[in-house]
Amino acid sequence: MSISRRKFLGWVGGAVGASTVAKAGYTKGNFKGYPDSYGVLHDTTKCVGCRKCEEACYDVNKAEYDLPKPEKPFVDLELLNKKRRTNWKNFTVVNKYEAKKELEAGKKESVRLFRKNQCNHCLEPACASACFVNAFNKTPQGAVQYDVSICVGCRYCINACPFYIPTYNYESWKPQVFKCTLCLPRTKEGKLPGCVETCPTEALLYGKRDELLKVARERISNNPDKYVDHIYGEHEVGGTSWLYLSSAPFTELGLPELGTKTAPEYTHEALSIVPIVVGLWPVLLTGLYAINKQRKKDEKQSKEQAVAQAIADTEAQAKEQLAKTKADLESKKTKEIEKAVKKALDEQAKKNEESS
Amino acid sequence: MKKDKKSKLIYIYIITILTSICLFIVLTGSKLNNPKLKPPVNTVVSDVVEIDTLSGFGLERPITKFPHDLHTKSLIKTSITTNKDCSLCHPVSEDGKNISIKFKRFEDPKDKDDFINLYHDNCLECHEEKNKAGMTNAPLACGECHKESVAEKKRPSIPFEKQIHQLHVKAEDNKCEVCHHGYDETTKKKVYQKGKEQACSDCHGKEGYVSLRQSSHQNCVACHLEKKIQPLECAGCHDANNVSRWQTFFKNIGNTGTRLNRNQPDMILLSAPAKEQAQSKMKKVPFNHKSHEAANDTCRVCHHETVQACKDCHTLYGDDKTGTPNLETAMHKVSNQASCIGCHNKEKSQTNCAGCHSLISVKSSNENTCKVCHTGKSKLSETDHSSYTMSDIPETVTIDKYVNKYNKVVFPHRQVINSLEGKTERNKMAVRFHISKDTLCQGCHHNTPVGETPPLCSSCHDNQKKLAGKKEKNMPGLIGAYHQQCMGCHTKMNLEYLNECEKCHEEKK
Repeated sequence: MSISRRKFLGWVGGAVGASTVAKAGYTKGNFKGYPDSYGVLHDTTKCVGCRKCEEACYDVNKAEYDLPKPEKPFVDLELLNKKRRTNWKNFTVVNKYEAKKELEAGKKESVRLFRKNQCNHCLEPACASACFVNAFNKTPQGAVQYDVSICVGCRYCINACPFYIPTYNYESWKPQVFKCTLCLPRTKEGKLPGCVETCPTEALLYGKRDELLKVARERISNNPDKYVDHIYGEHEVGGTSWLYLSSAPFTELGLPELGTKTAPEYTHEALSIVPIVVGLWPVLLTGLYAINKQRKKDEKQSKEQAVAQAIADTEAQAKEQLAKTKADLESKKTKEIEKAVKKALDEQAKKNEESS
Repeated sequence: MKKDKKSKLIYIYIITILTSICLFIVLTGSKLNNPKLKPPVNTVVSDVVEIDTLSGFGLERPITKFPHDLHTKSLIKTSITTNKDCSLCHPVSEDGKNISIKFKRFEDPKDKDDFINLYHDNCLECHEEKNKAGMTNAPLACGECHKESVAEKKRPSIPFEKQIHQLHVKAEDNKCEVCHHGYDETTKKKVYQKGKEQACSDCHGKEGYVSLRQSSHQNCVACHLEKKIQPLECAGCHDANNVSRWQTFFKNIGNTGTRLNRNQPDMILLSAPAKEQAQSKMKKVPFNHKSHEAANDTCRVCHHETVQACKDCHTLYGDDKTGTPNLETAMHKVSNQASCIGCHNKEKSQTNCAGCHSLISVKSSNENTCKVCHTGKSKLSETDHSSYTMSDIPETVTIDKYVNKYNKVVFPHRQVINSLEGKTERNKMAVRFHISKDTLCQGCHHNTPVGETPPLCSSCHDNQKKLAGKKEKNMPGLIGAYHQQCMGCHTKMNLEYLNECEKCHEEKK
């Protein structure tokens, strides 16, 4: 196989070009969310742990997802004594927390708080970033939408989520991941999400994310003793659509302490190398292989040639040598004969001299 | 070839064994030596005196942590027979009036060796004596005193509050001059000024005065030793556990009777300083000094710098040079316990009050709030200006505006008001502020002026839950408003019926 230099350079150029185009697509964490995207403000100081939101979520979703009946009814408040996670039957759960609140004098006070846990619909979702078939889509309305028809069931999204939200049904063959949908179909019709609609204490407030932030800040400034001066979700992992207010540190409510770096930001550098590797390496390696092969072939050829030449040379030399030796022997023989003849003649001559 | 393979294997075995041994040592050794894994020892004590006076010269050995109480106890034991007291170690001045809190000196020696010898010679001499007498195992070797110790000193300040003070008053038969004194600048002497007694720390501890440590030890310990009454050891006053035990003891035996007598007024009319009063234009505030005395442990809760009238320092405009806040800030700052509002807010966070008061935000005060205190009258109002009687309040109120999944609520209105009235009568401050019973309405009917008949909640609270549709961003819809108000109150007052819908809503049929 022989490649012309021109061809080889052309391949390399093409691969580099393709990979730079692929890298330029990521804008590195500048995404502040779609304008006018919606979110929910969850004021945990108002949550009383009644679980009506769980019931409403079940009612809204049971038809579409064919959810089984819950083992314990939603009026059972005993199961709040254990921390629960979302699972494929429960897209949202409410948990009870005995939060330690620190007062000024260094004393600690234990306050009972409840918090509703569900998909936070991040502005730059880790699940969408991890999904290599693009089954997740961050909609302009704010919800992170999941398309089950594309999903291959690899569960990378479950691994990627910093809040441990997407869950999987291991008892079914169907590749499907379950999480809160922010009731996107309902909100498109102008209705409220199921949980927000039912919450009796209005601990959930649905509205535009920018306005919710203003409301949250107003609440904090009007009641400085009541709230921790931080809105969880404002900047965490680049911002989430679901915002939390609390009267105790958020880590006491089971919310992980996350930086403002978005999930895609963690992985985009490594992932951006993939196009370069996939585009460039085959070309390079193939080229190198071809060059190597050619070199080896040439080497072999020249080696063979050299061997043949050497054989021919030695043969010729041998022949020459043989002829020479033959000639030598011949001359020697003649000389011997002459000598012998001369000797015999001399002897005869001598004999003749003696006899006369 | 076989030989090579064999030797190779042997090498591998040896290396594996050595590595595992090393790992074992490293891992377990670190665990054994990790001090955090050792069982905790009660190392925080009040009597540790860290002798680091030579640190300026550079220390060669770890500092000695001197157990003072140990030595005091030993001294007390022997003092019965030997008549020795603190002056054994702490020198007394020639006029007999001052005792040094330093060891065997009034002033620190300048020379390093002199300083070292001061301690070594004196301590070791006594220790040798004791050891010879066979009484103790007093340390003599260098390393026995100069060793690393986990003992940490912690000496919380003693709250010399009114009940302890009362004990001393009784013990000294009302003679204040035994402890309290002023200072005459001209004669440079201590003088007693009757009627002007103050807290020790009002002067001691400030620049130019003897330190509080020196003066309190000199005054207190000396007297206790003379009269041979406890507490005599450091831990007796400075140990947090002991202190809290004394406090509980006093609280349990109740107020030990008579009021502190310093000719303080029963009732004052609080105002701005005289020459600024005309500019102030705020009506004067009648202040019941007597009841506030009874409600607080020390005078210093309010008289935080010196026992004087507030306006003597807190003028109308304040003082930028000294950083003194103006009168308004001093009286109203919410975050400060010495201010009226700050302390009152703390009272209102009690369980019996918090039901209503926790829902009233700090920013909800209006022009009527000021009038409650700024009356201008010298007497507090004793009359109930209530515009209603119990019979005016409906017995029950049926809330059925948005009945859907849940049935209506029959609210026992009169019963709730009765209960609230009962709670306010139990607290003196509440009695004062809720003397007009109709102030209680504002806990729930939060925008209705006192004395007016409140409108229905639904006249302002609609059913709008969407943020976009709300009239005011932070105003909850009607259902949210009811639940926040009712459940908020119940939570703060630790009442039942928190999570059971059926307790309020009639059962759905």
